[in-house]
Parts: sequence; structure tokens; C-alpha cells
Amino acid sequence: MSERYKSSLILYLLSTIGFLTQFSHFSIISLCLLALTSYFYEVRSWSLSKTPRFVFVVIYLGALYFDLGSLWGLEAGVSFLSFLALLKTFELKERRDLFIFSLIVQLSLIGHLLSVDDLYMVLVLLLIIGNLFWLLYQFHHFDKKHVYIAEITRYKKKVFFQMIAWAIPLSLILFFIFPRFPLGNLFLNTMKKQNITGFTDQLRPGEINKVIQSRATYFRVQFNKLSPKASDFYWRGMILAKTDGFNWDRIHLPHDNSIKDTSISSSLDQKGKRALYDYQVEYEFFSNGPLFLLDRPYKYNLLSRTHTVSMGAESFYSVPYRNQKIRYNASSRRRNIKRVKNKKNYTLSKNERKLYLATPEVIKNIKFDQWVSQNQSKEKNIDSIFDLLRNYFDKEKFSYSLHPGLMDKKSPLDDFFFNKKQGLCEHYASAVAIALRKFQVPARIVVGFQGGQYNPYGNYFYIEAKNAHSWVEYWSSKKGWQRIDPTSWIHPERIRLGPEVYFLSQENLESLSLDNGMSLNQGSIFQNLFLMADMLYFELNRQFLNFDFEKQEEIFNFLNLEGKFKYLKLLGLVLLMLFAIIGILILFLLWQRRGKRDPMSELLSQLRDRLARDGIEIPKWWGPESIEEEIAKSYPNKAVEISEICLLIREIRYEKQESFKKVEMGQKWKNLRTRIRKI
Amino acid sequence: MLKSLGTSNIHQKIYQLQKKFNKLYDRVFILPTRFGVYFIIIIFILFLMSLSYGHSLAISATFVFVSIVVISIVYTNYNIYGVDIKEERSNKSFFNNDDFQIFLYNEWSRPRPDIEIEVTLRSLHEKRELTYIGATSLLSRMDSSVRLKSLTSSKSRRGVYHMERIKVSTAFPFGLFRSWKYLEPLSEQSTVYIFPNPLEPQVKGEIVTNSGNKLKDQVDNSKQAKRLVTRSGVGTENFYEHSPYRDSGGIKRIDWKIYSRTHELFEKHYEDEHKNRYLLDRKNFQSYPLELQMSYLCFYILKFTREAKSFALVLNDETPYWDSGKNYEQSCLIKLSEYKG
Repeated sequence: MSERYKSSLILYLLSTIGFLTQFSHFSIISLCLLALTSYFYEVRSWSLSKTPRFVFVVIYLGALYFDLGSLWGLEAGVSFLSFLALLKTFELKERRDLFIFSLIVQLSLIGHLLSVDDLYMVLVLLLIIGNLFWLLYQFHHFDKKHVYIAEITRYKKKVFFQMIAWAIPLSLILFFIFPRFPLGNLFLNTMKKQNITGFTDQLRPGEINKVIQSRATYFRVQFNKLSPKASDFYWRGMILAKTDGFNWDRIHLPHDNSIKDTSISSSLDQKGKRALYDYQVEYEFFSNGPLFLLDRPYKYNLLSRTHTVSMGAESFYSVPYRNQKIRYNASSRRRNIKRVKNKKNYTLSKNERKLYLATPEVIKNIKFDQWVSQNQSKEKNIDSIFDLLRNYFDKEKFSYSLHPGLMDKKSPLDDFFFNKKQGLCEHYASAVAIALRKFQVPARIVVGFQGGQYNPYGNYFYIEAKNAHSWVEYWSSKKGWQRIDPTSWIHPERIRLGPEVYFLSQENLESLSLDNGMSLNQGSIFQNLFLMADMLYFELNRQFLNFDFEKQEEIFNFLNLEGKFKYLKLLGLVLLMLFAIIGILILFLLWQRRGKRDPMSELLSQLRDRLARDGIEIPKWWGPESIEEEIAKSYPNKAVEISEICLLIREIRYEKQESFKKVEMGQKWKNLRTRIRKI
Repeated sequence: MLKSLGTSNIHQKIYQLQKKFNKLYDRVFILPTRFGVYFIIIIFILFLMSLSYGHSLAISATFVFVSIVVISIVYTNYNIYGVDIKEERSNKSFFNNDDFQIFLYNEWSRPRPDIEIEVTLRSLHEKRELTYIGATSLLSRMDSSVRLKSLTSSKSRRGVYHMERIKVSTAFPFGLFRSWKYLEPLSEQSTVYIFPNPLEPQVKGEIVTNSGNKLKDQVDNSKQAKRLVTRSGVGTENFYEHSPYRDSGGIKRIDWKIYSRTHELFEKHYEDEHKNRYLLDRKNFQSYPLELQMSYLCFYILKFTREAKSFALVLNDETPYWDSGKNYEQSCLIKLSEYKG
């Protein structure tokens, strides 16, 4: 197998293998097959003529179309480029082929890069780039006759590593300093079309239990300065308002008017306390998904390039433009806004009222309806409705269960409410919300996450899939939309201590306190190590991936880049920096040029320059003897001076340079230099 | 196949411009190669994409690419410094099919890998240019010879040329950039003679000695020549005549006795040599094309010199002058290369 084939195949594998998981199975299998074929051809030293290659391309394009549905988009493009690069390995004959191969690999690398979003990829990337340049470096002259000279080979290797050593700090400087001008979306078409959300926009009670047992991290949250009590960790995901009597679905909702016209002038409230919880959320994996916000969301600011839609009721849904993790800053109000005097109470419009009270009886729950109508006359106050429900749950000994089983299909709510009397958060949320609506209280279901594990090393929370939760929001004319979590009536430990308590036996549960619950997360050394590693990775990732224009502005804050000419100033800064870099490079070159020249030829050229100033032209190939002769012939007034200098030159050049003479030699050099300077 | 890497149009235009303003030498130029241009375009696409997505990973990739390329510019540029030509050592006259051998010198203490050199020769008499290219790696502060191969595949490059320009270039680290500079040819010494390619004629017998004998079998002649050479180089037997000294004759022929008396230079000629001298007349080969004629003549010139025989070259009915020796051979070959027909 030829050297260049080996190197190119290694480069190809390196550049694709890290990213292959992003591809469809079809691409992986067919690319692997093609790689094997090319290997086989190389070993047998066969060659592939042009026609089959063309046929290959057509077949692959067709298959790709059937697999992906279209040939437009990042995935298809990258897949095709990888295919072309492999096809090129069949004909690596000239240097040109190798160059083309590396260009295709470079192009496909762009596509690969845009489909990953992780810090460790930097290492893979460095490896790939190093390999790419090594390939260029090695084979840049391979079609000429290669003569092995040890000195040259050593020097070449040295230069390569020198270049890498220079390039790394330079690229780091560029990375931090080069302004990330917001360019807008130049390549919009790469938005993911198919929905890959792990978070459903519907509630089918009983289906969540698989998710709840998973330990996969869903997202991470870091609070700025102030964080709410652990019991207030309710991450609102989606608001569901349409029900068929048991299941819930999402419909388009209007915005909540209650907080529309209020704004917070500063981050402090009247009492001088912070009015907002500021936090930064980062998804753990690529997905479309809702922005998880705490209650009373105030504002959000997306850090990743995504397309975000409002879904009404202060909930938002985000679709990244490519495989990018959703990252955002957000803030929520700490408490409800106090009603300003002379202003009306919170109101719901007619439409909203209709929306949040609708109970279409697709699924008939006759018993439940009867139960509600029995109690309807008694209860008008909201608190008393809650008391009623809570008392009922207590009295009938409702319990929390991970495996409540399927409810009766015809009247599932009846089955849950009167027969089974055990269920997940979804069952309780659904039952309570429907009950509230029947009592003429506007209500809706919220799905999201509750709680979160704290990492003391990184001072952040990570929310795992098992934290998935659902609860109810009801309308209060005094306070606006309020959260009520029916699960906390049944199973308060779930809320207090987190979902870990599911997995404890009943006896342990009774002796648990909150502290015990927290210590569950910090037990063993391994867990501590895990937390530390998690923190390190999270922090680095966050700093690296979230490094954007705003953070750069922070770096340049001392320059006072504010006001009208901000961009002009920035542009000036960039130009300045470019000039600085070029200047440094030129200085570097001059410095290198000075030191390395043969000192004698340097001096001779100096001598020539001096003589040229007096109008004596001396060809540059002349040695000291011919200079002496020429001067003696045509400029006798200078002959003595020049002949002395030439004598010195000859002495230095042709005398034996023994160690005891070193001092003497040095004096001679000095003498020569001053003499030439004095001419 | 050899390909010229540095004769693109842009390079030529730069050359002409620089020549116009008379600032050609000691100046280093640098431009991306074709592959380098593609490479930069791709980096630019990467840059645009990464900025528009705000994708830190892609941005860091872009900057790693950019900085390696920038550093490679520095190294490419640096690699051409200190390379100079040693023209006085270079072989300025050579045969048609031979390589043009010149010497390069590296003034600096670091090696200079992958140096390419391109020499353009302009014909003095015709409108013709020849390009010779070659590549080498130079060790630190050392001369090294480079064999240059001709790009033009025309059968005959015979002629007298002027060394028009000498371009040394390098694309050293990656081949993304090419830096080059023009070396100053030495005006007096830069005439290059390309001799015809020596070819042995298929049919012998055209060459006639002055005594009327046709050229005999080669083996016999060489035996005789050996004997002659082993004695004392040129024939030692009987003195034949004196003739005024010509530059082309060797110093050995000068009769120093006459010089001591008259202070004039005369050459000695011997009988043996006089009897066996050959007349190389172009007319004898007139049935062949011009280049072939030259090749045959060249062959005999080399052969007779090797065998230490005296011969006269007649191209256009001039009066023959008989002589032998290396210097005479050289002058004859120059005559051949100058001959236009």
C-alpha cells in the first residue's frame, strides 16, 4: 500500500469518524463499504475507470435522496462530500490528486463541524488539522525525485513543529480577540426540518414513567447570585390547555396579559432586594425544545443561533438552525408584581376564559362529573376547592406510584379517581385541572421539570430526565396565574427531596429529612469525582461555546466602546490588530534575516555599498583580491586603505581558526567592522 | 513530465512591470499558488459559516487554519532568502541533449529545502526562448549543483543564448504559497552556448584526409591515436612548419625559442600531424538536414580531439585552418552553435 494512500485514508477516517454518529445509517454503511472497496483496490493495485465512478455517483445520489427525502441541506451535502473524498482515494497518483483530496476533506470538515457542539471536539479538530497539514507537507514534493539528505529531513521536521508551535498562540489570540460580527443568517436552509425533540407537547397520563427512571441529564442551570428555594424549582416547559377529558394537548395560546404592561426598571425592587432570578440554561444534547423557565418569566436571551417561537402563556419553543445545543440566559420575577393602586384587577378576556374553561367531553367521566356537581354548590372559594380535593385524596388514601397501570379506556378519569387511586404526577395534575375547570376556575397544565441536582463544585444544577414533572396553573383574579402542584399533597417528599426518593423503600422514607435528601447526592468519593468532572466539563464548555460578541465586548470594556461609532471603532480595532500582527511578522522576519547570514558576505556587501556611495561600482561576485586590484588601478588615493581591509579579510577567512587564537580573531573582526564603517 | 510551476501569467506580468521600473533584483515576491487560492477560499467559506452560526468550534477551526497558513507564508518567504547563483562555476556551454548544470549557493546557516530554479535563455540571433527548470535542496553555506531540464521539447536547441532571467522560487512548507526572486545574471559571462548533439553518421567516407585517404575503421585510428598521445600529447616526430599563434591553439604549441629571440609567438606544426589531418567540410553532408549536419560535424570534432588528430572545420568555403586540442575543439563547437545555415 502506498504511503500517500495510507496517509490520506487515515486523514479521511479521522475527519469523519468523530462525526459519523450524526449521519443516517445508510450513509455510514455505504461509506464503509466504499472505503473497504477502495482499500481492496489499493492492495490489488487495480484502478477504477471513469464510467463506473460516474455510475457510483449517480447511484449514491439516488439512494441519498430516498434516504433523506431531499438532497438539499447540510446532512446530504456532507454525506455527498464524504463520498466524493472516498472516491478520490481510488486515484491518488499525482500531487494534484492529493491536493484535491485534501480540499474535499476540508470542505466536508466544515459540514461535520457544524453538526457537533462539544468541547472535546477541539482536540479531534486539532488532530485532523495537524494531519491535513502533515499530508500537504509530506507530499508537497512527492512527484519530484526525492533525495534523502539527513540535514534537510531534520530541518523539515523541525520547521513543521515550529510552525505548529507558532500557530497555536496566534489562533488563540484570534479566537478571543477577533470580533464576532453578527452576520445574520447566511445559510438558513440548514435548519433541521424533522422534529427531534425529546419533550412531547402532549400529556398522556401514564406514559411518562419510562422517562422518570432515566438518569440522562436534560439541561444544566446556573444562577447568577440569587437562586430560589429548591422547592420552587419548577421549570415550565409547555403549557397545555386543550383536554379531551383526560389527556391534554397543546393549542395556540394568547400571551398572559397580566405581565404585559409591567416592566422592571432595575433589578432591585422597592425594598432593595433583588427582583429577578437570573439564570443561564444549557441543553445537554441536540434537540428542538421549549425554553425551560422558572415561574413568572420576565425575559430571555438566546445564546445559540435558533429560531424561537412564542407559544403563548409565557412559554417559548426553540428550533436551532442546525445541530446546535439550545443555550439561553433568562430571568424570572421573584414574586408576583404588586397591584398598583387605581388599576384594575388582573382580568382574563372572554376568549381566554372560554379557552381555559373548556371541558369537551370526548372521554366521558360520568362519575367524576357527578362528584363535581355534588360538591359544586358548596365550594366557591379557590382555597376551599383545593381543601376539598386534598381531603378527598387523603380520605381515599391516594398514593404515588411509578406503575399505576393503564386506566380504563372508556372513562379513565373515573377509573383513576374512584378505583385505582394511585398514579403519577400526570394523573393528579390532569384530575385537578379538570376538576378546577368544572368548578369554573380557569386552569391549565404545565409540563416541565421539577427540582434538580446541585453540583457544589460548579455551583449549578443539573436537571435529569427523571425530574420530569407536570403540575397545574389556575387563575386567581387577585394574583393572576398561580401554580399548584397536586403531587405535593400526595407525595411531599418527591417535591422536597427530589425524585431519588422513588427508589427508597418505605421505611427509609419516614426517617428522611431534607439534609439526608441532599446528602444522597454527595455520598461517595466516586460521586464527588463525577460531580467535579461534570463541573469542569460544563464550565469549559460553557466558556468556550458561549464565547460570543457580548463577551468580547466585555474584554474591550476598558476601551469604552459605546455609542454611535461602536462598530466603526471595532473595525478600527480589528485593522489595528491586523497591522500589529503583520508588523510583528515583519519584525520577526527581519530579525531572522539579520542573524543568520554569513557574517563575512554581509561585511563584503557593506564594503560594496560604501564604495558605491563614492561612485565605485563593484560587481557582487568579486572577492577581496579583485577589489584590491581594481581600486589600486583606478582609485589610487584609496588603495592603501582598501588593501589593508582586504588583507584583514583574507587573514580572517584563510587563517586556521584555532582555539587560542579566538581572542585575536575577535579583535580582527572588530577592527574590520570599524574600518569598513569609516570608509 | 516536468511542469513549470512558476511561469504563470501573473508571474510574467510582475516580471515585466518590475523590469520596467528597474527594481527587479534582490526583491522577494510572494503569491498563493492555485491550490493555495482554493485553500483560502475554503477557509473563507468556513469563516463566513462559523461567524453566521456563531459556532465557536467552527470559529476556532477557522483560526487554526488561518494561523497555520499565515505562519506558512512567513516560512515560505524566509526560505528564499540567501539563495544566490554561483555563475562562475556553472557550465555555460553544453550539448543539446545534456542538462544545464548550474551552481546555487546558500549564504545562510539554515538549509533551504525545495528550491526550484527556472532559467530563461533568449537566443541572440533568432526569436526564440528556452526555459530550463530544476529543483534542489540547499545545505547551509554550501554550493550545490542543480541539473536543469529543458521544458521545450524541440529537437534542436542549438544556438547562442543570453541568460535572460534566473528565477529561484520555493513553495516550501505546504505548496500553498510560492515566493520567488530574480537573480542578477552577470552580463559578460552570461552567454550560453548550446552545441549540437553529437551523432555518428550511418554512412562513413565523407571525411577525407588531405592526403586523399578516406577515413578508415575507427579501431585502427584510435590505436594509432593512443600511441601518439602516450608519447607526448602532440606529434613529436618531424618539424613541418611554423604559423603565427592563434588563440585557439594550446600553449604547448608555442615555440618558445623563437619567442625568446623575436618576442613574437609562433606555433609549431609537425609532419606527422600535417600528413594525417582531416578536413571537416559541411558540404560533404549536404544531403542531410541542417541539424543533422551539425550533429555529424560535432561528432567528428569530439572524436578527432579525443584521438588528438588535427582537423579543419569548413562551414562556408572559408580557407581551412588545421589545428587540434581542447581549446580548438571548444572554438569549433562554438562555431557550430553559432552557425545559422
